[in-house]
Amino acid sequence: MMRQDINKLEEKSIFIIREANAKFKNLAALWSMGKDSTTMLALARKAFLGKVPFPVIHIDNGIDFPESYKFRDELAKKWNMKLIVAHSKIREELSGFSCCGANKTDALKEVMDEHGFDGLIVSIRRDEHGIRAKERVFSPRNKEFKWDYKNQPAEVWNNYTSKLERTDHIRVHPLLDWNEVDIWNYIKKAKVPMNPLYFSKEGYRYRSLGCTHCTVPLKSDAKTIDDIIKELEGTKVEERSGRQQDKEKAYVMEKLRALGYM
Amino acid sequence: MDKYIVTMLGEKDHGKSTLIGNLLIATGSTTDERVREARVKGKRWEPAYILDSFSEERENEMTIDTTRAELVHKGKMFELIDVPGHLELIKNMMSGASNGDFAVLMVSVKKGEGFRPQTRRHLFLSQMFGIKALAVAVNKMDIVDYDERVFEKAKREVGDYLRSINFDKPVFFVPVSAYNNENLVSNSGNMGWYKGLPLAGLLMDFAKRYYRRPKSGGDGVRAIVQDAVETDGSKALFCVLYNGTVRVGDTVRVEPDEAKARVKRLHLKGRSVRSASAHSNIALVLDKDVDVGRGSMIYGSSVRPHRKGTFTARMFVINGIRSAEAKRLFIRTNNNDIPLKGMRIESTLSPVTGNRSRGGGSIATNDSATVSIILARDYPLERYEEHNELGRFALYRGEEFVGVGIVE
Repeated sequence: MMRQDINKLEEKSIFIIREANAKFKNLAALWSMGKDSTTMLALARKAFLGKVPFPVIHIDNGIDFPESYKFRDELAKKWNMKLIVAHSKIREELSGFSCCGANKTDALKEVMDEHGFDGLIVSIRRDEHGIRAKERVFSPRNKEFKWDYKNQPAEVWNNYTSKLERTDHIRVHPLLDWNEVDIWNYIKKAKVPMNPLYFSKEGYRYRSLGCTHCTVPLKSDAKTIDDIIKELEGTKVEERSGRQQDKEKAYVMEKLRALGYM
Repeated sequence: MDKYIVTMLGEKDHGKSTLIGNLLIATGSTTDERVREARVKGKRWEPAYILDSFSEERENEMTIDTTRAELVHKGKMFELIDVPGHLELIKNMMSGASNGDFAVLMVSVKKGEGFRPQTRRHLFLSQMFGIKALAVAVNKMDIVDYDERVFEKAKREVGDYLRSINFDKPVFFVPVSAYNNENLVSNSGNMGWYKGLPLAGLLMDFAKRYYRRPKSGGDGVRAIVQDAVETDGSKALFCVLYNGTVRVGDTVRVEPDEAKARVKRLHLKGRSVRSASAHSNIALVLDKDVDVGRGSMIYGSSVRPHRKGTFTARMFVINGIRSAEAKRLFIRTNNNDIPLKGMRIESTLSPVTGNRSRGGGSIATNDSATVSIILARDYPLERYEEHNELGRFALYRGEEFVGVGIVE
């Protein structure tokens, strides 16, 4: 993996986050306490003179890692963020795709309805999966959260779409251009507080975080940010290889996206 | 490091996605896992599946929407943008192509494929979008026994067309077989008569010789206000600084009223700073309360906008428009929507046939035109040639995207 110019990436993300905040009446952001959405919040603080001006939503299925809960509560307090915790049910009979798809999406729908959010910041990156490479920066969703990927709005130069009559809300993707290694370079440069699960303990670390049911750690001795950057610059393994839901079927992401899962 | 954006142009089935797939594999720019994942059970191996990841795309063997792939070659990074070749998907093509630095055009020499209307439209648009250099990959050379004469014929045909639309960028031709990976990264022994660089080599050369940042003119300050927010008793203006350097203490002029004010405080990425330079997202506080909001433009005190409410533009429309319906149209420029009051069509040009005509009441679908536009309210615009980012717009009819334009 090669590094991009993080100053350019940072400027573009700030532009997008400001654009979303100006354009939507009621904006929120998803926060999983992972590296990407935490980096996005750090960028929002740069954009808005040290404050995160919109509420952040954690879809909590109750089985996230204890480290994540601790990290969430400490950072929410330190950065003075308005945190909304949306509890999702865990249905024992569901696993992987159906678990994240059904359980988390239901909870998100409820919280979106309750608050009437018309814009939702989601910190996905194009390099995560082939499907995500096709996303727009501003991406409309209907009431069922469906991504009409066959008929996406035009996005010419930096002119993003407005809310259309048939859309329920717009997903905003400020980190689309970033690669995994850029995120870590930025975490280092901007001193972004990070979830401890990413750093090696007893020979293992998490590279991508889901909940305790579907995420497995990888063998790694990377104990510091520099170690992680070095590890990524030499790797040929996909970032989400430790995520069970990605592996079940070839086009599972497409199904997840079409279903409205983040 | 800089990343160069390369738009991949051409007709459907001429092999764009295949070419990108093989370029990625040959340069080691994709992971083994993604290659494994792209091997669809029971089907012939097709490198295009690395990009065409929608199931419909694989089943129908076509690209639906723009996708991007990173190519890393000899220490340089390129973002290849694969755009759909189908006519009805030109909106997606434009979304992908609008930010390209360079373009690669695929032309197939297979019988019945050749240089076709959609290819002409793509070339026309890429010139309008301001690419800096073009590589023409003449594909499927393996089918014609690597015959140099076939390559020369394709070269002449594309060259003639480019001259007819006054294409003014450097153009290089390379014979390839995308499927067999020939002349992509290294020169193929089957085409010893070709003495030029393989495609990846051409891209490296483009990056070295032709890359330019967006053009902006002189050092006059030009910033557009994205949002105005009350914080701690003062109004902070979140702006994109497109040109010039702004300093605390500077006198600036605020459009639309041309009110003068001084810069009291300046913030960049959350920090208070003394000055900020072009292509940054700033927050500024002025010394007096002037009428300013989203869409206002802030100028250096000595410069004026080129055009305010009336201007001439070159446009390309994907859905026909009539000058009589101007009041239903609006332009979107840097995310600001400004309705039209009127328009006059000066001349039209078909990118496919090269036919030009004067005047008229409408622009046909997939045609280009020179148009005089009157906006319903003053909005500062610049000539595209001088300020790329401040002289271009998307055109809408209600919710419908109908085309793009650049200010003359």
